[in-house]
Amino acid sequence: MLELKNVVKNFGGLQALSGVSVRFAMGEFVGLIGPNGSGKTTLLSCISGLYRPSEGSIQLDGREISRLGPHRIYRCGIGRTFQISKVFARLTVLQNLYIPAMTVAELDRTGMQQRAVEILRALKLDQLAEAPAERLSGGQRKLLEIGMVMMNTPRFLLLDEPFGGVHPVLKNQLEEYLKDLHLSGKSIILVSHEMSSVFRICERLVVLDRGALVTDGPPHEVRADQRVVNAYLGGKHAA
Amino acid sequence: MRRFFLGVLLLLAAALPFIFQGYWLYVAIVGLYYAVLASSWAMLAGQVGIISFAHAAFAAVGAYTSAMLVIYLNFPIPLAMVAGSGAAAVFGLAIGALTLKMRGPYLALTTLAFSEIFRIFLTAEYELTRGSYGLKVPLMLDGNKTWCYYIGLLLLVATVTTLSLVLRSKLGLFLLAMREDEDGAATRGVNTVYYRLCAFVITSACAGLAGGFYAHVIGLVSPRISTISEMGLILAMSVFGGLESLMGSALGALALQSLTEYLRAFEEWRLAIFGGLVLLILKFTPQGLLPRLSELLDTCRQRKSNMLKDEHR
Repeated sequence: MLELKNVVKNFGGLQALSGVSVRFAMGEFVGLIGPNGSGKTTLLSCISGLYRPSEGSIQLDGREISRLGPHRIYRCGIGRTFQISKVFARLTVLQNLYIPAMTVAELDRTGMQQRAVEILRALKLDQLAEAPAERLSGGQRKLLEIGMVMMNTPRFLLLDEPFGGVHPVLKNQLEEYLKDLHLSGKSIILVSHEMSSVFRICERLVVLDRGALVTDGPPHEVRADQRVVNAYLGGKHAA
Repeated sequence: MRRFFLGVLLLLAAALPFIFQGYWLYVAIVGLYYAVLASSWAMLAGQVGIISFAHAAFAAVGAYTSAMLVIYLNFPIPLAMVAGSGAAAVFGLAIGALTLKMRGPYLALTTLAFSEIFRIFLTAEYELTRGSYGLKVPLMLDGNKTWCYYIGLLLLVATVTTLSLVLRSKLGLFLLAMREDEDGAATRGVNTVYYRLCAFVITSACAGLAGGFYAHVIGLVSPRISTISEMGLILAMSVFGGLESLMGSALGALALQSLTEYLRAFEEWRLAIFGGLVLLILKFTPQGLLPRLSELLDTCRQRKSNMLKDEHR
């Protein structure tokens, strides 16, 4: 269980998160949605340790993690991807996968190579294993980032706009891959503006607006919530 | 091909004392000192992405520690040099810890400030260091320049080999990842604080060892070795040879050291000519001399293989 209690994040005079409290259970597929600037990425950055919350607590299975560095949070089993992919451009695709695996003593060298090959096959990147990551397209980089997270056995995956700028074919492939991950028991928190995908694959939605939680519930309820329609969805995706 | 090139280079370097004697051998020895500094700085700046201006100061830490241990405590020179390297590593650790959260110009400015503070300390502490007059230091191997040259060459080969091995290890891969994206590396489990400190410690230790070598070869250490212009020269050497290549930086150092000495005949114009030449060379080889040479070699090889393919058709 990942639990955020009254998380506040200030940047100087700007309050990006104003007391967000939310729980994510193991095995859930949660969509985190809201208009631009609503605090979705900031929330992911607080969970993943890139930002330290100004107030409040973040607990993983009852253990406080809000004061831990990002590398320690990763080792606790929380992996994330970024809106603008943070792959290591001048390293090869394989090296990109080896780095996260080498930070934990979970796999030996052979196990690491096997896992990398399996992941690349699943993501259909196996032909590019030896290519520098800078040669990948934007969509392939997003896939590689997810592969990097999957090199260990994360319990929570925080995905920031994985469909943004991705070719429709790759998008479908990615959706299928995420569904498979969820079926295998992974907990996924997905930030996305691709509402059709979000409604299709998430089983619960958390809506943020101006740093505050607006609502939290199953997609059909959220879609019908007038506050969400006003703040974000408008007419297009409303029930 | 690369190994062949390295082998030829090493053979040439080993034969140098039989070709050059006296002044030019002395120039080569000083060049080796700069080559160790330039290649270790290239590791920090080019491979890890940390632009530190304290590298010459770390060399001064090594030089003064080694010199004072020999003068005041009668340490054997090799042991004193190792201790000097250790002292520089400790300073590297301290500066690394102080600048953990700093990036770009903030980091550069802080390391520059440390460098200046250390230089002023050396000048002011006359009782210990004899201020700007400098400390007269016992020479290694009774001042035999040929042997000093070989010690310098050994030091350079050991430095470049060690740093190359580090870069090929897990630590090296993490450092490269940090250069590409530090936040990205941290969120994939890389303890960036620890590895950043490792990079500072390793490269400072190399600089300290080079400083100790310099002190016992020249026979005099003064605060001049940690001035901003010395740091600028190390930077120019690394960039000139190829910032992302340890070997390239070392060769850049040897080339620029020879060039500055050759230009002495032009007296007060020599620095202006030196600057102009460096500007011109960098204009045409912005990635550095060695990467450019290796690019040219690759092109030639490609052309040759294309020609062979055409002949077969």
